[in-house]
Amino acid sequence: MSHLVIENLSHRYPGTDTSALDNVSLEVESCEILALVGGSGSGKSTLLRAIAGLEKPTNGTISLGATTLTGPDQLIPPEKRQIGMVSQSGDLFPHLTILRNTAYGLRRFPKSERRQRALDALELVGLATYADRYPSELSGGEAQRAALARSLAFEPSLLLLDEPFSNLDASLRERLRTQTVDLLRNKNTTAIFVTHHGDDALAVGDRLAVLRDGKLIQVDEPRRVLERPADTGVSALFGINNSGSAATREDTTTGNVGSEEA
Amino acid sequence: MISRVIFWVACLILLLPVGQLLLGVFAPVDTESWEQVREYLLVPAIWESIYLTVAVCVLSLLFGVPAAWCVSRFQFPGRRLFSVLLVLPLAVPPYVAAYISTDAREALIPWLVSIRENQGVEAFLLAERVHRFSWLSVMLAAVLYPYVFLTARAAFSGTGCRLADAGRTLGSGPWRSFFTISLPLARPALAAGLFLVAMETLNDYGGVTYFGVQTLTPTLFKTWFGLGDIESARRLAAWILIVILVLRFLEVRFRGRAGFESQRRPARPTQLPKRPVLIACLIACFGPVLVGFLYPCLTLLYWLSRTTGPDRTEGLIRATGHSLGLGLAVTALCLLAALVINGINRFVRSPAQDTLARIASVAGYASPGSVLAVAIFGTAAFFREVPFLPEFVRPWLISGSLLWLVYGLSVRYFAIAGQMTREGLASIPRGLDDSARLLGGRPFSAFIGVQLPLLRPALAGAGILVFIDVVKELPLSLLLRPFDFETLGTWTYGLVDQGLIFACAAPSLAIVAIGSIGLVVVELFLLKRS
Amino acid sequence: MKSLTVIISLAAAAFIATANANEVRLYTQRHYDADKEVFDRFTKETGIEVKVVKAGADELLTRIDAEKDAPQADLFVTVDAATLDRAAEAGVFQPHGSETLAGRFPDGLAASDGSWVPFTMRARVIVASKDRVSEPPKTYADLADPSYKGKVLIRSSSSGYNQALLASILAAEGKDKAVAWAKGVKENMARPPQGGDRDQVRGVALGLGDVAVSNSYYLGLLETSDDPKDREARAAVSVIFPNQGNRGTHVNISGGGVVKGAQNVENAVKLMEFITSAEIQALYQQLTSEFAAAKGIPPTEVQKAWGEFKPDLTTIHQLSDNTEEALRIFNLVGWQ
Repeated sequence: MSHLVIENLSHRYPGTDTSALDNVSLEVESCEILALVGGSGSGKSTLLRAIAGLEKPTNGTISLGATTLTGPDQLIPPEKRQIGMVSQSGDLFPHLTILRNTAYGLRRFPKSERRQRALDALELVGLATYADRYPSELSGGEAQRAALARSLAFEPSLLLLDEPFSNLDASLRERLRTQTVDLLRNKNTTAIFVTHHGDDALAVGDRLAVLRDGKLIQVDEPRRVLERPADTGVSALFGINNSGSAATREDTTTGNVGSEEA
Repeated sequence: MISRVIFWVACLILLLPVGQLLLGVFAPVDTESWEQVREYLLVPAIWESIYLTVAVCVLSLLFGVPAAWCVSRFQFPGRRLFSVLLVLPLAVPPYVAAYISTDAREALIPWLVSIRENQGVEAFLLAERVHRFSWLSVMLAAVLYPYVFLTARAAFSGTGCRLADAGRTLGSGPWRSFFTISLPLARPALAAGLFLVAMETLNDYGGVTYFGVQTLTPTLFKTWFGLGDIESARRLAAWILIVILVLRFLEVRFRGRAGFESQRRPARPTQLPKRPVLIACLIACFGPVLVGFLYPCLTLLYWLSRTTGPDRTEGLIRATGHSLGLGLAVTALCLLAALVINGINRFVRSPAQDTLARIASVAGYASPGSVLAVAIFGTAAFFREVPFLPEFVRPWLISGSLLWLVYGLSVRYFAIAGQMTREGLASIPRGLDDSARLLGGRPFSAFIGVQLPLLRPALAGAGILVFIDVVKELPLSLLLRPFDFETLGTWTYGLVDQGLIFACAAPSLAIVAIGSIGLVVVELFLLKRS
Repeated sequence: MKSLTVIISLAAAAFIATANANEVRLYTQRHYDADKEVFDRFTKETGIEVKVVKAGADELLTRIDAEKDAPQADLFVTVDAATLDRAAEAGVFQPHGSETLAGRFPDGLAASDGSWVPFTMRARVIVASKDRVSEPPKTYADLADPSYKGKVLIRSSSSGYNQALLASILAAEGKDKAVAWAKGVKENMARPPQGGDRDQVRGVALGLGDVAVSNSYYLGLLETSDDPKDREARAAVSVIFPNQGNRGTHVNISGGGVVKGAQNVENAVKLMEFITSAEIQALYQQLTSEFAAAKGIPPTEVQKAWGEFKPDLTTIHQLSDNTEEALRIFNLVGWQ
């Protein structure tokens, strides 16, 4: 059964000429991790914000299970969607401790459970001992793990990860990526993982979706994308040389370090 | 080495009057008259000041915060226009705002009279007090709320906007996000804005005297001139200053352990509000503009049309000239001092110096104009005692010369220039300094070649704000102005003091016009770059 | 410290202006348009330019004191006898030495030592609502009567006019009565003092209070105002000259004297003679409804309509000695 269904989604920001999203249709299966890949300005953040309900797209529908979230006459507010989101900067609330940050989204659970649930979530990411610290007292990697814990504790029916580790250095990024994927799989979480790193996408996604200029270029399993990239842009993104063979891992890493963008 | 000396001299010049005043706390005074001042004047004045300040601060929050929230969180027609309009009340001096409510207040007198007839004298006296006090608080708040609006808008739109979004993806509705995330996060910004509102309220002289509310500033005027008791006035001024500095210190400490440093990444508001929210937005934005800007302007225009009596054009032109000249001189001095102090502070890094620079910028602004005037009087007296001065200089050291007025205004408004230059410099990466140095530039030429061009918008913004404040200023100008010298502010005050309320429309409008033009330039061209 | 001095001297040098010999410089508390007209006539007749600083009397005196090494004022003009006498005692003035001036005024009005001369007089009158007050108060003491609770309008104790009024009561009736009077009036106020005398009259017309204290001068201004609202306000009140049964109505003396060490003494005396000449005294009565201080000037129509009155000349030169005490009493009873 299809979990998240996006149909004919288009969006244009007021006062701009170009479409941020152009007729995007996409499905994400239950318990699937979809890697959404695209350069800056490709529309991936807009797509996530639309799914989260932070943006009302100009056209199209978004539904989760049997519920229509966004439609022509429908816009369920973000807080009613139960869709979690971890952003590039983590967006921890600087005036709350890590524990209270994590417990922030737990209002639908009985009061007595909230603390334990938050602590459990922090335990999962290995930050239980940091519960009473403030976000400003954490390192970049720790902050992202805390943000992840906050979203997992919330038990979202869909988790959106918007370049969660792109501010971190390559080795830390890789380690956290592995840990995160294990966690998501253990908890059977449906997730969309946005990245502009080809290697992240290949390592994380059950399927890959490539977005460019607001259009979906290709949606497929990693292996098939590597075998049959839709065009040269996609080849370049994954470091596939023109003869069609997959590039080595070293190549992709170095190829992307230089083009890293905030 | 030379730069260090220049730095210390510049800071010393800025801190001299206030420092001298504070030292004066330890000087002996005539105990009997001081006790009289303390018992009969100071104590009631403290209560009046607290009531008024609290009322104005609360109202400023009501005017400023919802409007800031709307323009930073919602995309609605007229949002950009309102963003600018909401700042314009800053162009209306508090005393003018107080004056223009006269017609409306008089219209309500029959209501007060009916209270006296029906409920008796006590009820009437209470109603009269509440009525008067409310008008004054509302009118002051209506022109001072932009300080809260500006700081709140900055807090809500950058990081605050993203965090509020994060809250909503965690299942927290707009109200809860506002109260549990946006508002606590904006707390330091709001405190800073409120501090400015409180300072301006305490600084007001024309408005409170017109309303018969005896706060600390008129009490100081009274002690100084009414009782002719300069010693008590100095002591009073020193205590007012100490209380304010303590409050300022507490405000800074209040920010606590949680880190609030915001990353500058402005987010565009994207939420299209539904109809009821849209209406609420328009009310929240239009209300403050109406009370704080349109109402004063329209009233003044109406008064202008009713102004009678002799032709005052000549006086008006002279006063305008004086105000503009004073504004330019003070602006130039403030910018120069800000560049010297902050520039040197950047190249010669030392914590002691940094602290001094901070104190120098706070001290002047934390002193109400009347307090600073008392302080400058002391400084003037001190310089007249300096033995080796050439004779021709002495006449210019008398209190009430242009020199001291320019000096006093510069000390007071240096804070704006200092603060904005400091922030402007802080946003220029240190790496640029290093690169310039590595490429062979000496510190000074690196500053001229690299920092100065990058600082231009900050300097222009600071300059305009200082200029507007000088044109609006009343108590310092009133107390320190020289022979035969009227500014637009003192001219307005003088006319109202004579009971010529309609005649004050012309100079008031001139102040508002100068201020509005400046603010629009700052809002549209300088702050909107991000 | 030295560099600081250098900077200051340089800045000061930049401000130095050339002194104009043919001028007279006034520090005045008077802020009336009529003065400007008089000064213009003076300049026209004599070619002497009149430069004016307007401010509160105490502010001006503080400044004159600060400038005593290099006086910036030639003539100090204020609006009450107490301040004039106080200034004289403090040595602010030097004798004008003019025979012309000496003979112009009624006995006991000008300073006996020739330090200052009166220009004009204003009576401190009571006004009462014509509609609501059938038996208007006859004395200042009546204003303290509890029957006027919540109905009296009077301006702040910062006003020299009120200080002089209380000082005259102190001088004539003693401290106990003065305290009781101030306390009684304070208790009767319809609102804490605010605005000028004109605002008090307007307040009576609007119904906020029933009786008010004002200078006769302001009544004249309201009466001749271009604004119909002002004329209506004036028409709504009756004018009472208080204390006619005893020492007479308290009057404010507007006057001035030559500042000690002034640079333009001759011009200053010329201006004083000009102001107190019969022609200008009549002009003042016409323009401002003030009463002429010089002898033998007939009142104007407006003034005649208010009625004849006896000014209180007994306390005029006792006011300055009692002002300090008056201020203390104002503060004591909480009269803002």
